[in-house]
Amino acid sequence: MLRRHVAIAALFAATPLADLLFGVGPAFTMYAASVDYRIELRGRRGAETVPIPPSALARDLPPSARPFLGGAERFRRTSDVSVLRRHLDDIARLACRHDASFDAVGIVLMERSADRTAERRVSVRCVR
Amino acid sequence: MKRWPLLGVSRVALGVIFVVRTTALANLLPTPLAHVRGVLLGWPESGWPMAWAGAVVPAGLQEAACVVRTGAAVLFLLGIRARIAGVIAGALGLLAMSQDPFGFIYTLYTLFTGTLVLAATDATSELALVPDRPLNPRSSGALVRLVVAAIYFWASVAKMRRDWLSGATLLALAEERLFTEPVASLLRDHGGLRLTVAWGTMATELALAPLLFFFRSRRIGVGVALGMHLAFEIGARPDVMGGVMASLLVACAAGIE
Repeated sequence: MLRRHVAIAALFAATPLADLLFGVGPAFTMYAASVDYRIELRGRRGAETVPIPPSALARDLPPSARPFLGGAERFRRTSDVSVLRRHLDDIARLACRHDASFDAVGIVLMERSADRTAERRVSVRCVR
Repeated sequence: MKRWPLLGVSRVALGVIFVVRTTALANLLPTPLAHVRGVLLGWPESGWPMAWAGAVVPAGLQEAACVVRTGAAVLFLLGIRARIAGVIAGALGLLAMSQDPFGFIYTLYTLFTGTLVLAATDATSELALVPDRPLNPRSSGALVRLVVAAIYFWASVAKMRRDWLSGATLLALAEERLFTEPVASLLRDHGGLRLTVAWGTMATELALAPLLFFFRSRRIGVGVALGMHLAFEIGARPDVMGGVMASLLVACAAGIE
């Protein structure tokens, strides 16, 4: 094999390892999983904490992201939430813009599947 | 013995799928998953901007990239400087995906990376209007086989999890109407069938990696893979994934004759 072909094959074949090791990267998971998830969003204004329904933010997201937040106040099922996990800070920043009086926004993603139960929390300070 | 230009056939087939799936032509396909909003895939949309690693590209640049990508895909399909055209089309396809992280689907990822892979082979010097200088047909075939074998291997690894192997994921997909109705109905009603399909798919994909890789079993591997994708098309109509993989499998068959 040509050296350049060996390099391309190695790069392509090894890329999914990044998902196994670091949880980032294309791993050809195509509908292999099903996961129940819900999102909890809270805005902080001084000492006060205000719940924010994820559905209220959905319309300000790109069309492909809207289904992930619509109805996510309660557990709902999808095949993969890894992209949601990676963009929790973006959603928190959007919540900051949604209500300019917030000092900070906290977001929690809860996941339940046959293989794992996980919770990821991200907090973002709102820039005025 | 006459050598069939299978790498060239693979490039033309993938090029046609590329042009159709990344333009509004995709909306004519009989699968709701293959939907393009607007005229070209990746055209900037309203909403809070997000991108891989936060690298948001300005809207004007995204629009220009969509137009250039489509032009490059047509040149790749026709075989006019298809090597550089394929690299540009594949890379700009990935750029479009990077600007819509929630829209990530493996069909498009495989389409764009498959284009990049074929552009690096002798596929650009077969059945081409302006052929590129041939590199090495055996090495070209081996590269495509390794890439396709890796896709099946990793797809199988992804299914080695409790929710897939217990049939729970298949049940969820059936309830979400991601299968055609007769297949969904069978999967909902028969737990044994769910287990058989779950384990059978995982085992078939795992077996395909060595079957496609080794010379003696390549013919069987290509046949099994095409059969599996035909079954997926009947049961689930999964976007254009069957077409993308069939195009790459044609290249895997190079050398069998």
